[in-house]
Amino acid sequence: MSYIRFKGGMTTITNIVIEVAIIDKVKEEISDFHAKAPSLLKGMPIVLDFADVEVQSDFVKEVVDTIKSYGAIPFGLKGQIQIESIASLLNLSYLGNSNSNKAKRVKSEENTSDDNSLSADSKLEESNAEIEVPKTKIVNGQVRSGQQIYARGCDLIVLGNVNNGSEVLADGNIHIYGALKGRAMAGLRGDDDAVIFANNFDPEMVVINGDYKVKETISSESINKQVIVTKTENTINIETVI
Amino acid sequence: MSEKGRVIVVTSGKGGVGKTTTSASIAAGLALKGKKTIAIDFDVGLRNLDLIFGCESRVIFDFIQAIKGECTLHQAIIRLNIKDTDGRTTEGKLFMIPASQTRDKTHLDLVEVGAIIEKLREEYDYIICDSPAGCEDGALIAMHYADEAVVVVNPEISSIRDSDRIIGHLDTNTVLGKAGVKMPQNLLITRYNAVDEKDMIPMEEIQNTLRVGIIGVIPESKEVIASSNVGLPVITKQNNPVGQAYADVVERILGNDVPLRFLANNKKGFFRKLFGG
Repeated sequence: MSYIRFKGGMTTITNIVIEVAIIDKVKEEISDFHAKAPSLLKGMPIVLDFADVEVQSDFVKEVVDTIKSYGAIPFGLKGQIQIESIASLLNLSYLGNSNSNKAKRVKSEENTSDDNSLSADSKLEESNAEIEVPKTKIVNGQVRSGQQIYARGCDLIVLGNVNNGSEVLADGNIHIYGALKGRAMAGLRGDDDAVIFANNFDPEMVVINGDYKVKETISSESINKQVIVTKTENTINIETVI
Repeated sequence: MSEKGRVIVVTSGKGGVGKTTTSASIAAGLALKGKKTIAIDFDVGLRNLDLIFGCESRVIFDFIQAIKGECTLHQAIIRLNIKDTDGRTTEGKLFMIPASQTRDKTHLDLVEVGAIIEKLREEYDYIICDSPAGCEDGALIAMHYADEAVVVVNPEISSIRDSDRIIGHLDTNTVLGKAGVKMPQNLLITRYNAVDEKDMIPMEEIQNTLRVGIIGVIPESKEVIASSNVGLPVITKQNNPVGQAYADVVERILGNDVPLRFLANNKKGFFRKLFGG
């Protein structure tokens, strides 16, 4: 028998995409994010994606140190080829350039459509592989003022109320069987298709992947109703469920 | 004593809702029913429980000194003899440990408090922990070893919000909570004004928000302040609705099913539903 096993796996990892190489702004935004969800960054594995931004190693090191200072664990860098040497300097993995990855994937899809036998093979391979179904996080009771519940990499179900002053977050969808009076944030790490369902809707705020609605902007018609919250093109929709 | 004493924390989050009044009345009420009871004032730095018990002048040693070993536990315990309007007395059954007025809550140590509570469990039927306001260390230590909680709430938004926060701590930051055991929690609504009921948050809404069973409703009354000022727990006033309402709460703590009183008539239906009476 073998004592270890190398196994491929797909794990959702948060990517922090650096849009502009201005260190003060980057620090400020990370700090803002941390202030909004203090427990979220703690222990979170992170990939820093510099995309096509030109950066120096000092800048990268400072961003990495900032993220570490909030308890997150940056382990890899993405970006143009010159990032590779910075990554090895900082003892981090270089994971290529996300833009070129995307291009490659499109290409390989084209290939498979040309070659039917290959696609059949790869499908078979896929079905034999172990499928890891993300486990839904279930809260059996109330989420009370001051509490923060985060369903990392999965859906969240709350059987009771989400009370005022509390916060529920999920990378997937959020289902609340009681009343939603606090804040709910779904699709936290980039899922625009995430939804929030509440049996009694009266929230302080609802957020789907960065876009939000606060109580003042929610029509009184949906208050205290069964609703489903969705997002289309940066707009939060609130529909009552009949 | 065959069974160990039961620890009940009286807590609320918000200040001024009636924790100390409630602690004193529940402790005295249990003693009047023949249970050997001790009340501990956890409000270090803002000592009040001894005033309500009318024993301020008898405070020599305090809880912190007992914790720190500057006196023996028994030296810090004050024996109280309180009589109610029905002529019952607490003789030999009611005791208290005052808080320190000169120290602050940072002197409370979780492990040391635990050792004292364990000792008291051997000697008393009930240990009533009068929590300080807030949701910091003092309040968290007061609730830590509780077997049961009485959450005092006023029919008012900030009190309900703070109680919600405290119940969250009861569920997670206590010995029982950490062991994954649901601590029995009881809501005690105080300062309930049956006349101006429309100005208060309805009881249904309090219940819906907090989702905790109601152990009693104490009507708003001047008698509470009057009793405090003469150093008598208001439960001794058995000729007054407040005293009677507290006596009912004590009955319910002892496991006896008594109907709620002193509510406006139109609420009867709701409570009958609630308690299945």
